[in-house]
Amino acid sequence: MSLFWRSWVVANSVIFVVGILLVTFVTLEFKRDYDRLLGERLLVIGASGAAPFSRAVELGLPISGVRNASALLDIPRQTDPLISGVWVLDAQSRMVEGTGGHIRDFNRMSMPQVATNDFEEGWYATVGSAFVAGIPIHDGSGQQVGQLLISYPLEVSRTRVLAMLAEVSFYVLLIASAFSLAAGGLLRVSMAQEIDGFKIVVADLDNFDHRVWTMQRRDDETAHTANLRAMLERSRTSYLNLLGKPSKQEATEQTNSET
Amino acid sequence: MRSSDFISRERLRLRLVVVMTTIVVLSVASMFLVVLSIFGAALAPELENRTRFIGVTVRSDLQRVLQLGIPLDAAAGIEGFLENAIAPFPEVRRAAVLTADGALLAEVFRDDLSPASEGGGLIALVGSAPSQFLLPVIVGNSEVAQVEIEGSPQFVQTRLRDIFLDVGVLSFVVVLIGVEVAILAAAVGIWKPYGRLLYLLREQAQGRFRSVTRPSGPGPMARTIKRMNDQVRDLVRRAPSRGGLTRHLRLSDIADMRLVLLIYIMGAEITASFLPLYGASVSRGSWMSEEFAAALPVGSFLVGVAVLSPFAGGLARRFGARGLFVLAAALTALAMAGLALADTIVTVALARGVVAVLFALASISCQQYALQAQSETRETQDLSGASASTSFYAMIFGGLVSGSALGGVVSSLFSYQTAILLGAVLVLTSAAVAMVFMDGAAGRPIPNVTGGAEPPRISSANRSHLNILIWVIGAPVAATTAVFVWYLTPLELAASGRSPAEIGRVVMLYYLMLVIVTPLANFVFRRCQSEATSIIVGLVFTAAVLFLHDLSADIVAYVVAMAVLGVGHALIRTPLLSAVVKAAGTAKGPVNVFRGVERLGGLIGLAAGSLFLSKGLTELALTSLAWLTAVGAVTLFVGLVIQRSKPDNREISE
Repeated sequence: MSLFWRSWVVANSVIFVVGILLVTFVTLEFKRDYDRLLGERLLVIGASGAAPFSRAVELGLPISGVRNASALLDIPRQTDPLISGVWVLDAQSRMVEGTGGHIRDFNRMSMPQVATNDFEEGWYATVGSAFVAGIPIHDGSGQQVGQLLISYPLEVSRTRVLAMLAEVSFYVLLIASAFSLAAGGLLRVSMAQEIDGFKIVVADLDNFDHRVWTMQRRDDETAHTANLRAMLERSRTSYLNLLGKPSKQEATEQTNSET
Repeated sequence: MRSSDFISRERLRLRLVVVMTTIVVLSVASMFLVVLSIFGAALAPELENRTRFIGVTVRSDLQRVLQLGIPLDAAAGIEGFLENAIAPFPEVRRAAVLTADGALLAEVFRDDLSPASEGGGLIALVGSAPSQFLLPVIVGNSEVAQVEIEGSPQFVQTRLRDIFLDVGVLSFVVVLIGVEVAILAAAVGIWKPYGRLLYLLREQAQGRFRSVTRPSGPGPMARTIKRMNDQVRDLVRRAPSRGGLTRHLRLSDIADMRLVLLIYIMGAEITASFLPLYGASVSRGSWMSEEFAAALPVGSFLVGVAVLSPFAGGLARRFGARGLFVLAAALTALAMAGLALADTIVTVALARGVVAVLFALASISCQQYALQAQSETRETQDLSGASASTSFYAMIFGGLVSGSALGGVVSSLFSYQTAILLGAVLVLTSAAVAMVFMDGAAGRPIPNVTGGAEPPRISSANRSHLNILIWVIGAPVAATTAVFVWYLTPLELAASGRSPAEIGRVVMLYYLMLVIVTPLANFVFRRCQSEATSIIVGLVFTAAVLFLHDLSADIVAYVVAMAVLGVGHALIRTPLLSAVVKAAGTAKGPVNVFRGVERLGGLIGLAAGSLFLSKGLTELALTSLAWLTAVGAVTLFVGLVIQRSKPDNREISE
């Protein structure tokens, strides 16, 4: 059965590794897709929020010169109550206007430092404990003079990813366990010939061992592997001959002839 | 009962492959059905948020227009407005503006997305439906219009299809490794101890008590081995005058090196699907074209392998296959780390060249081990096993399939560098596995045998036949692999926007066909005793692909081309080698020339391919290869006809 157990352990490892791979890939893909879907939505929300600032800058006004900036920044927040902060930054990444939590250091918010994508419309990335999207504000010549940032609590996406991970893991574990049992059955059936053959060899070795130590045959002993049995006998005889002792067979023959 | 009757490795391997493949295919399919439902349901809220957001944006803009008193049917360019609104949202299939009583006013939709009603079999099966919204446009107190937004299930379907394919190819890799692990576990735990026991028994039955070995295997077997060891030690202790020091018996088995080689090739060839893209992505001098930069790492690999191959066998014999492999694998891991950290094309090409030299050392060490183990097995044991060369090539191609697939998936998810570093880790793992399992006598240095049989003289007819096989057939076949599989396919697919994972899957198909078709072709053509027929059929397949394939075609055409080319090359490779050996009358000199010409053909093809690509004449590269292949097929066919029509041959056959 050693052959069966070893093969079953490997088959189980294969099933569970495939399951783990599936869970890992699904989770990574889900996180990537979720971030992308959310990021794209935030970019569109941010683009409508950044439009009034771009128009002001195109007219030659500084970003800080937009008088109703805080009211304009409330418009993006109305589209999704979960948006946790909206800010306008100038070209040096200094905050001009905005409120919200999550972002402490605006100097880190320049596009090349954090962006995982390089869309013309802006960038989105996970920064600290928030998911942040940045939408550039351009002047009339197309030069970037600032950006509008929108932050979204990371817990939302984290909770969704973890919930999906837990659900997928549970079902994959269940299915893997069922197929592990099926693999056991299939292996036992398909390897029956090898397992049985091996059992016979092991039984013969065991019988021979028993006979050497007890100097008598087992009642139910049968020799299945003639070749192996003959070699076992011959090796034992050679050993005893070299020791100068008669083998059990020789001793028996001697006793028989004496009687 | 002979031991081989109850434990045939080939039969066991076949059964393990069948059982594991069945179980993995069924479990992945069931897991995937569940994932499909969970994935769709988990993404649905965000997809709904997006669809609703578009609806709300369109509605508020329309309301603003209508509040100004402009009648809806007078508002021009609603279609353009709707197009702009849905442009950032690739999953939205349709946006429409309707009157209050439902008459259609304006509508835009994406033709490439399937409608919600055609959710697809699997989507319909698990009940994941796309989002759909109908929002009223209210001016004053009355509803004047409606905005309708409809998503498409295709977004979720595409994502899931990618996951399914990625997991599918990785499952294949896991099954491949799993089968080899199972075989190794059976070898280490059962048939190697049994082989050692038989060896001791045979020796002792003949009255020779010299060898001892490690007791292992199931209970009674380990006990018997222990007793045999004790008998030897006892006799040596009692009669030291016999001068018999004990000899520690280490039997070798081909299974010792299979897993090692598979993991090594998988790691070292993890770049197979993206090497030209990686070469083109790093910085290069202004004098160097992108096409040349893409070809350089592939070319340096061919040079590296060609330079070291003739000496690797001698080195493995001199320093021992195991030691040399472990050293080469450790250095390969370092070179791959260098390849991952390289930032210029020169360092990339250099690192890849070093990997190639070490690749040749490591793979030929394994081949040496397998050949030694095979001859040792034939001498000492009666267990049936696979031949060394079959095992060697199975692991090489298995490693290439797995490496290209794994590299594609990992580089797509993370980066090229991450994939190369993973390759380095795999190579190190193979070194560790080799340290533990390649412990047979075949891994030790082999004393030099001076002198030897004179190489047989080759007749002039055979010499011309040999030249045709090597130069007219071998070189173009190698050039086709280097140019089409390694170089043009990754570049062209990347240019059409395909991800590294998709490219990996396509390139993998070529090697997969080699793995599957080679043994079948060998079996069929060995029965027919006709290598030439197999080669000609393979050349016809290859030429057909090269003539018919359009490089600007879609990925499906590449899938077909790779599969057919793989089948064609599977029909050529082994029979060609066999025909070269037969014509030369030896497996040495001309075979080395053949290997050298193969690499030279690859190099020249690659150089020409990059030149043609930089001049915009890629189709010409394929057409030239196609003509060369066709010429090879015709030449061999004519040679075959002439040979068969010779009277002496007819007499022999009669």
